[in-house]
Amino acid sequence: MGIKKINSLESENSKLQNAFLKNDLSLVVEIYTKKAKLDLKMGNKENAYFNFTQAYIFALEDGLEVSDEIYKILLKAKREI
Amino acid sequence: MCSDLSKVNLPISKANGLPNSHYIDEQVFQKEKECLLYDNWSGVAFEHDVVNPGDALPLNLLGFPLLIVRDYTNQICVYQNVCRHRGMILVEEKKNIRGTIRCPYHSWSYNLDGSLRATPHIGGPGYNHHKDLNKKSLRLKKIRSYVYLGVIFVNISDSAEPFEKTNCSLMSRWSEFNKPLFSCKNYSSFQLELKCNWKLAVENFCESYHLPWVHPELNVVSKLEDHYNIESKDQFSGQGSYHYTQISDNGRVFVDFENLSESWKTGAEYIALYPNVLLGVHRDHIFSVILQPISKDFTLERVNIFYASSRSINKDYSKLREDNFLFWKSVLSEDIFVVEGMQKGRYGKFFDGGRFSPAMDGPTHNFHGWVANQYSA
Ligand code: FES
Ligand SMILES: [Fe+2]
Repeated sequence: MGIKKINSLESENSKLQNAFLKNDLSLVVEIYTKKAKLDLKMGNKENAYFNFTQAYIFALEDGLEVSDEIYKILLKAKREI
Repeated sequence: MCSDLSKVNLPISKANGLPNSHYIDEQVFQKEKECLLYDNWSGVAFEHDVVNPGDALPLNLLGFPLLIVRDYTNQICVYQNVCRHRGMILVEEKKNIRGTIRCPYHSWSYNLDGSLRATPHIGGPGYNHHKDLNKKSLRLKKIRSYVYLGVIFVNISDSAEPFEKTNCSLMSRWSEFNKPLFSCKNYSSFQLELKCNWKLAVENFCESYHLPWVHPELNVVSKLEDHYNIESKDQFSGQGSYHYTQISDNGRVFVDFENLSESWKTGAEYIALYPNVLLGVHRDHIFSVILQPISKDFTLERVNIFYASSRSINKDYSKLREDNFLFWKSVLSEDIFVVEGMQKGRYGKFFDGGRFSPAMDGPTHNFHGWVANQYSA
């Protein structure tokens, strides 16, 4: 893993941490969804559905409409019923 | 410690009150917790403690964790505040829930109707279902609840008759007050701390015998002989007065309940609804008191005043509301030394539960009889 990749991971994680600190759940959902989509693109399915799940749970908690979309993604991949 | 209840249910002229153990013994207290508080309809919160849809209030009744929720259809629901996974407390602090109730441990997520909505990673990372776990069978445990006169009542053990059946006689006696109630933030509520067993606060509230001694100022407007006893076997007891006088501020008085019968123009009633709620009704306002037992000898007394009309909570009534608030706060505070004094008296080991005044102590005797029956059942 190159230095650049580690740095960008660290900054993603601190963004996530900050979003949690501010209790900004829609930002949390956005960050996890972004990660998940990137994972899918990279062909890393397991990470992708892990991150979609994280996004889904916080979207539900915050009553965000986007939870429906994420649910459909999880359902299609047989990760939800 | 002895809990001989054989004398409690004798006719009042021969009866003794509840033995000391019912106030100072931990084992008796634990048994009473079950048979008096959990097996009956106990008051735990006010309706306005969860004012907005999504409001969730965690509290406990002697350790039993409750979660009171106002759902998005404006209904109040009460749940056992415990996750169906590893038994984590779901909500630790009062908050407004916008979507689901997410358990802070592994994030099982519940809808406000108690159903289990999501179980993340339950089948392994990224797999949110498992063939052996059926979400439908894992709802939050619902606790029966009922709202009456602004108070949320719960029957924790699910063994009581429906609230309306248990309390039908009070509800019909006071049907004219079962109407929308109005309360505002300032000068509506206060809390007192009582270093006594909660039952002593019930006993003191339901009798008028002490009024001339403990509340001499009340005796000026409403004399002892203007009072009558109220006793309903196995449900409630209290006192009524034929001489309620409205407080006024330069001729301004609070607005009355609509369509009240003539007798309520000067009448008022104060009733202890067993086990732990104290209520007072008047033509223009009511108050509700929740006695929250904390331990065998410590009780929180939460008081809320409700008005009969939305007009009475307008700004131009604020002086009058302040006066009314200060009046009730001072009356109920005057009782603190007697309930605490009776608690201390229960350590006198030769005290035999006490003898009653057959004329004046009927409401207390009625309550003791109820306690004894529940305890021995
Ligand atoms: S204890 Fe609640 S999700 Fe595990
Ligand atoms: Fe009193």
